[in-house]
Amino acid sequence: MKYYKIKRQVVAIALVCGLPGLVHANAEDTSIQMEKWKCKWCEFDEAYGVNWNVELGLGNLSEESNYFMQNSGLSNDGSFGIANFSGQSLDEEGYFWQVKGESLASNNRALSFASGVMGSYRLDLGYKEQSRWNSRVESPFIETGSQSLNLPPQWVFGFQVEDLTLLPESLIEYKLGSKRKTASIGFEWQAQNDLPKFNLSYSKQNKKGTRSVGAAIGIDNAFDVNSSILPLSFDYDTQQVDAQLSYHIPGWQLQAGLYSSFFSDNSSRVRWQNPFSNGVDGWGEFGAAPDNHFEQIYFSVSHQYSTDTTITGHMAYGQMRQNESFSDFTINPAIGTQLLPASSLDGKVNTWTGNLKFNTRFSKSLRLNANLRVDEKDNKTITNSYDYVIADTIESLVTRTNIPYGFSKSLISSDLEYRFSNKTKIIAGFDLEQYDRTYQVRKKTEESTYRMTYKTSFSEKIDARVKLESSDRDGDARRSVGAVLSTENLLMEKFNLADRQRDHIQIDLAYYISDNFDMSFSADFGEDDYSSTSLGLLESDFENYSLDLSWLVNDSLSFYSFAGYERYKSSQSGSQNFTTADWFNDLLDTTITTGAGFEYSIWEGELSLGADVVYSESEEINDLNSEVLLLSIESLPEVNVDISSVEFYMSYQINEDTTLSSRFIHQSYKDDLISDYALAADSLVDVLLLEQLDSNQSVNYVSISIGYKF
Amino acid sequence: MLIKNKKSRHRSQQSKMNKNTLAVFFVLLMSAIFSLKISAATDSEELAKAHQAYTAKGADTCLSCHDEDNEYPVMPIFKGPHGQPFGEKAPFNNLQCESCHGPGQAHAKKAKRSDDVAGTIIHFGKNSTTSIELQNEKCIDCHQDTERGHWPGSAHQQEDLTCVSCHQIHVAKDPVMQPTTQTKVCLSCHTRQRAELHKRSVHSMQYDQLQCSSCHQPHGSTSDKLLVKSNLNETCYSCHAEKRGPFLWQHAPVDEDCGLCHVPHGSNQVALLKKRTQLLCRECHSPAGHPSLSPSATSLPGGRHSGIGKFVVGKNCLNCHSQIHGSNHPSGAKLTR
Repeated sequence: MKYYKIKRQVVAIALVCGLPGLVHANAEDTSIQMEKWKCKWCEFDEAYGVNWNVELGLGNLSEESNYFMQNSGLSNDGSFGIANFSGQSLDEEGYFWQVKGESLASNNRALSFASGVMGSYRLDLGYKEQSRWNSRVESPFIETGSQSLNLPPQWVFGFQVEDLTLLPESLIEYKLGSKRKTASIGFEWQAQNDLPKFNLSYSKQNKKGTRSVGAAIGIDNAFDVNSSILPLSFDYDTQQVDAQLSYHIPGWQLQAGLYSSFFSDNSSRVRWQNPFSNGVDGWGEFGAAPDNHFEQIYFSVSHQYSTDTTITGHMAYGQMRQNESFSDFTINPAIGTQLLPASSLDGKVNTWTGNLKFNTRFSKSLRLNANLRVDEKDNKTITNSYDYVIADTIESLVTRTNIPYGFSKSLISSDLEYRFSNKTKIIAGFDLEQYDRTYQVRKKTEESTYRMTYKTSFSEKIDARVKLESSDRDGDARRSVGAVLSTENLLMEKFNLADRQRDHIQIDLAYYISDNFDMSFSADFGEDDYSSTSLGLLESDFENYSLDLSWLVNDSLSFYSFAGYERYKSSQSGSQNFTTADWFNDLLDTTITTGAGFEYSIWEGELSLGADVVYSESEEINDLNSEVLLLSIESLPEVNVDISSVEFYMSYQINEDTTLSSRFIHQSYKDDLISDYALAADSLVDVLLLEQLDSNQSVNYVSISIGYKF
Repeated sequence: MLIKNKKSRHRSQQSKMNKNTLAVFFVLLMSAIFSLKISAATDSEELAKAHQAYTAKGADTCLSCHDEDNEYPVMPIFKGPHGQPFGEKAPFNNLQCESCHGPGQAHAKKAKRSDDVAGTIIHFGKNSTTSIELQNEKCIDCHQDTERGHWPGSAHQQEDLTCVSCHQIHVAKDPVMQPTTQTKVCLSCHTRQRAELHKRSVHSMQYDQLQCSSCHQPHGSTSDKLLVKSNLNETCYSCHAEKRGPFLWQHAPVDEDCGLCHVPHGSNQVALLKKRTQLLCRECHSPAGHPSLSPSATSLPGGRHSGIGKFVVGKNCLNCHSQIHGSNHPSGAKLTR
């Protein structure tokens, strides 16, 4: 590719930098009489022996709140058990073991074990379950367990959703979300300090769940395409292996490693029965996520040339591969297509990342950071022509050729820091980022960024920071890409390729009213201007303010509070008439977040109490306009999302070994329009949607547990 | 096709300076700096000159004052990893308290006389008179590994953070090392991210299912934004390997940068998207036909044009183009299969 020269130079520099070596003087104070350093008051035995903690309890979740379950991992309402334990042992030789079980009575359980000798070797074993449930929906599709979604036997087919007369009584509830189960093992070993350290980690993760997927299909061999949103189950396995060898000698840190990741989808394709086939037992099919793997070797070196100068290099070469067998062009027997050009893709993408960092302090006042980074995806996948069957219904007259996108990105950046005093400094920086893409309408883009940061203290009590950043991106002329069969409007400028002027200002103030009471204020303003774009994203800007208070009243009582306001605004245009821009949409998205809390302990820490309150309010407003009178358009309705939560927690130490803990959370989630304007399964004429069950919920979580240590 | 002659000329001129010029610039820069005889005395050396003598009894000297009742109690350190005498680098296998705090004789003598002890030992924290560089140097002396090798020049280093800005040493359990308390430590500074975590769509961090360190390496890394992997996509693929491909039919921005469509910390849209898909997709796509239609409320159910509601309702563009991250189906050129 285009940056081999740079790559070679990066490697050469990395090697050259390694040659000078290091003169390292490790002065020792020989005047110390270590025989007098008996450390008789060192309470090493505080940690020796075997200690166990067991916590058992009960909890209750008042109802199934999508938002609460998405974040907490709980998967059902009702009562649940609390079972946690931990045990640890350490002896005078440094041998230790630790075992820990968390949330064992829930669907979010974790179990871990670690053992080894401190400062020598360590073995880790782990098992963890993580649930994430997003929403409850209803659909007439019945999962048969073999990646096949059937309709009920008595299903009444039709051309449009309104013709699907058995829909209401056929709806079955599904819970969208996933559960990850991860088993892992890790080993770390270093015989002695001046020998290499070896790390090996392996994990296998299974991710299972149900997601919503749009499935388009033609009706009655016409170009008209209907769609069904499927509650599709998935079952993924990902294995990761990382082996590292690290070596440290005075002034040098070296690391070499091998990382591998293997992904497999336990289904190869998905078939669904077409509800719109008007009596014909039609089916559609799409491909599942293909099995793939990624291997990467990497090498890092960090060299402290002197106490003030460090050079760091990192190189990683990897390869992404995928060779899953293709399915047929269609499962529709009425369509005769040509043979596949290959039985599988044999996709191959070489990745290369290189990074060279140089950091030096010329004096106590002047510091330089310089960085060169290269990131490349060289797509070696073979291209072929493929027949194209539209939505398992009709064969296109034009074949399609796959496009092996790739890119090379390089970034050079440097920051020069001048420190006027301990509290005042200025940093001036420059970045130059270049992209070289294949098969894109704009091959090269280049963005230069200038930035300046000024940090100072107005007094002992006030710190301030101002950061200014301005960048300008442009690129070469647009070109036609032969392999891309597109009817894209030629005026469209994709926002990641378009010319852009970006400006950003950030102001931070911290006021230390006393040693225990401080407040901080931060303001952020940014603007992106795509002035050369007439179709697409035209401009965007944001403002962000936050105010924080923190007060440590005394050793027993502390308060905090915060408030934030964020506003994002953007303008874009489109062309309904496929000429110049004829509609414009302005988006205004605002979020206000406030919160406060305290922690209080009394009776010499025997009783601890705390509370957190958070309220978040978001609003999205769209303003759609047209310059063409014939266009009959209206702005999309306003969307509001309100989330609030109150949490109280306490722990009471009944005696030295026994602790009673309790927690209460009330959370409320409310949005105006569920899942982007879709309310019912039959809301649309030609898309069979998922019936959205109410997501505006208030939920109460309460738990009480007792912990015992021995 | 738009031909921007002026910009093309500008680009061709600029392209001459790229690649080799940049590399040569780096080589020259480094050569110049390597040729300098860096003479600035380090903070360690200066402090050592000022206070060369260690205490007579090591930790016993320190602990005679710093017990539970002292303003700076330290005894909980013996319940944590820094208070154990195991391993060649362990402080209590070396110069005990003075492994980190430096020679303490002057400090002990002044403290005994109730004199001002400021500057007599290496003191850690925001209000310390010890320089940031020296504070961090003492930690990195032992914690030398490749991660910390990336500390110089990293975002946190440039913000003048010290190790103890995030870490607590004299405790049994360092909050930033505990899964249930780490996020709170990070968000005490990263206030914008804290607000984002209370939006409609987030990674599961509110109740500590994920931690900041699941994706970020706070000590410095080779990637942007202190990510744990070489770049953003590799970091995302660690958990979302099904989107890695390579696919037969790729969606170019997916391979380039997940951040073109998604935000990592929180969004008011589904699936951590920057915008609702009706708008987001139309920022890049405007071919003839339905993709160029305006996202109009008249297409909503009950509207005058509800017959075309599938372009703005439900999963809208993804009602049909569901394989948005790539398709491996031979008929998946439009990412519908």
